[in-house]
Amino acid sequence: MALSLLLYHTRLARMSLRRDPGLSATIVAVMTVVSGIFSTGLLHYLRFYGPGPTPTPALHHVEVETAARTLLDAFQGTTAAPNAIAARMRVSYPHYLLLAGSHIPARETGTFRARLLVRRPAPPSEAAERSPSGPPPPTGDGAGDAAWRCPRNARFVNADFFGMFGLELGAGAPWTRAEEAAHEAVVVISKRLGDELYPAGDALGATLLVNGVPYRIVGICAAHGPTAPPWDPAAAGGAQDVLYLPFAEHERLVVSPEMPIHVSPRGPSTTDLLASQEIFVSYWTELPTEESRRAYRVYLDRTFGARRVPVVLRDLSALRAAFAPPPTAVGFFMLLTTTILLGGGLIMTRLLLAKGLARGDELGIFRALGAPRRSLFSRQLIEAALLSGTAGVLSMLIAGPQAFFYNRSVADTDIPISITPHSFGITLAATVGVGLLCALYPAWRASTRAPTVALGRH
Amino acid sequence: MATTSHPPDPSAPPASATPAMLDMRGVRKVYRAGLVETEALSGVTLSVSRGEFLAIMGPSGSGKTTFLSVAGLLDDFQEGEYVLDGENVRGLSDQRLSRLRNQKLGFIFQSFNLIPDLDVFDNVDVPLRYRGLPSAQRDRRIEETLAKLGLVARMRHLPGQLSGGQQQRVAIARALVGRPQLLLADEPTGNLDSASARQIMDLLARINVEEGMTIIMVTHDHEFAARAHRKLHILDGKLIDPRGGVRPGEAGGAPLGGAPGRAAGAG
Repeated sequence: MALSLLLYHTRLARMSLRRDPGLSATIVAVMTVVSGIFSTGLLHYLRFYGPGPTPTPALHHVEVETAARTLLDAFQGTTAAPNAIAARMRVSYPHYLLLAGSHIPARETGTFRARLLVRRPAPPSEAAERSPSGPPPPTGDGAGDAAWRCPRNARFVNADFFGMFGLELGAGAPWTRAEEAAHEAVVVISKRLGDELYPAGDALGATLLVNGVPYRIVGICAAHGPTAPPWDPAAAGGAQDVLYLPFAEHERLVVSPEMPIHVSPRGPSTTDLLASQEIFVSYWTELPTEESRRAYRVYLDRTFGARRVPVVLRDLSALRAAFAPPPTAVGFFMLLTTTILLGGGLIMTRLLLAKGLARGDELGIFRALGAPRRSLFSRQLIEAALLSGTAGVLSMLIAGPQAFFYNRSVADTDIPISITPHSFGITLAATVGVGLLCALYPAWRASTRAPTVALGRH
Repeated sequence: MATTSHPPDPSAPPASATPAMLDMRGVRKVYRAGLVETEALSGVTLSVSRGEFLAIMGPSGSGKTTFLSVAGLLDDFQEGEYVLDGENVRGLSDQRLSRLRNQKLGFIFQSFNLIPDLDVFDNVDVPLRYRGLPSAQRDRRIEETLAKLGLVARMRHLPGQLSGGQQQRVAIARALVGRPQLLLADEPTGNLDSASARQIMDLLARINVEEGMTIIMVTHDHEFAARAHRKLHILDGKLIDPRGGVRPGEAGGAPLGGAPGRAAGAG
């Protein structure tokens, strides 16, 4: 019976709204505008704080700060050699091969960022015209000429990186450990780079020149960003990474990390490095069970503890607490747009109060025929839900153009704001929620009017 | 001493030993507007038997509409007791009062008060919606009621497409579809032409006789009031029996009630 009455009241609510189209349209128009503004604020908020890649909850971060010689000694006898450049420049150091010795099955990755030049190779015919006698030179004008002149953010990672941080690919797949060990020249590109250099959608399998070196595209990220990458909190708010390359490729490309942080180097040479008192390495590892965490702790203590080297092992929640994105104006903007939405709701309250007064006779008839107060109350909430729900849907007509013009006119980052099913769902829920909240008082007023007053019989 | 006896009124329903349909004792209703108090009903005491057809007359502002509102549980009262079909309505929750209105009462208003956006069928359906009846049963009952009132051909018409008399018949159908035990009619012929008004009165009389429906009707029309079993006047919120001049509740005066055709002071 409850469902039957609900459907009946929904039908009556729709009729009531159609009976006064001007008032209904006014309410919808007001709520559409404020909901559209709210949605725009939400898009900014989600771009920065919204759900992005979901790291595995078993993620742990390891930080080691020690003298270079100590580090080398710690890895003595293993097949993993510390990367001298990486160690000097306070970058992550992958040594998952060490884990083979510790018998702890775990995924592991290091990551650092560098700025590289990217372009598509010139078409063969065009290259042959320029150099008829031989193969086309690795440099030269090709597609994406503007990109060629601007260094892009590239990230060096391991094969396990994508799975550990939940970075989904929309096409293709990450390279495997075997390909990484074989030093395959492969690359995963971002959605943005794919859209930019391969608008026809033919990026997968194509060749990309990175600092002039050809790489085969094996995967394309499914989404933009994230604005605040969980694997590199220091990079929050800037341009997004457009390339993901196997970690060892930084040697082939002869690149240095973008943000070097010197601890106490004595000079740029390897000799200076080995004489440095302190270097810093960090990496990510996955420890899904308590047993693996205990074993890894034992492993670290055994490797570094004897040498009195401090090691920090943090789980994901501690990581997030330590590296939370800095507060930005985005949060304030979200608060502002939410306030505007509530303001629109107050206008809706006023209009619904007037509507309730105008239809008092109809409500009185229903009361006379035996409708309890709560049924009239719920019917008016249904009306409010229909009005605000319609406004929530129509608000995309406001948010969409605003997002379009923002992306075209404001170049704060290269990560666009965009309407997603997620943002649409939140906007719709918020608009309907505000509509229902603001309809409570008018619904109560109208449903508690004495039937005799409503019928004008007093 | 010779005694006289009056022959039984053939139009009156048989005297019943069952409790009265409506029993008010000392009901008082006051309207307050700021510091101003208006006593709309003043110690009304009335008993209406089952199957009785009662007409109430009075000038504007005498309290007859207020009486009907209180009787119909549309309005509360400050003093007195009101027992409807054996149930004391004082202090009942809104939920319970709504249920009583839905199940035991039927309303007929002067201005019909049909829902303009609902067609005839859906207007008559409204009270049944709050009964929780299955859809098939509701439809059957509505069709039966409309057939009884000759409205089947107008089933899908909107109220605006009907004449005044037809609209009032729809209102009567809506009042009857729930099979109430008490019908409250507030000047049911007030907005109708004479021919339609007579048709409506014939209909009400027929319902009263054939189905034993208890009817309380407020009217200005003496001709229509004469068709009732009993006629009362209301003046300044007090009920008066025009035959005996005795006011209910006065010392020495018997309260009005009992079987139709018997009133205080008759003799």
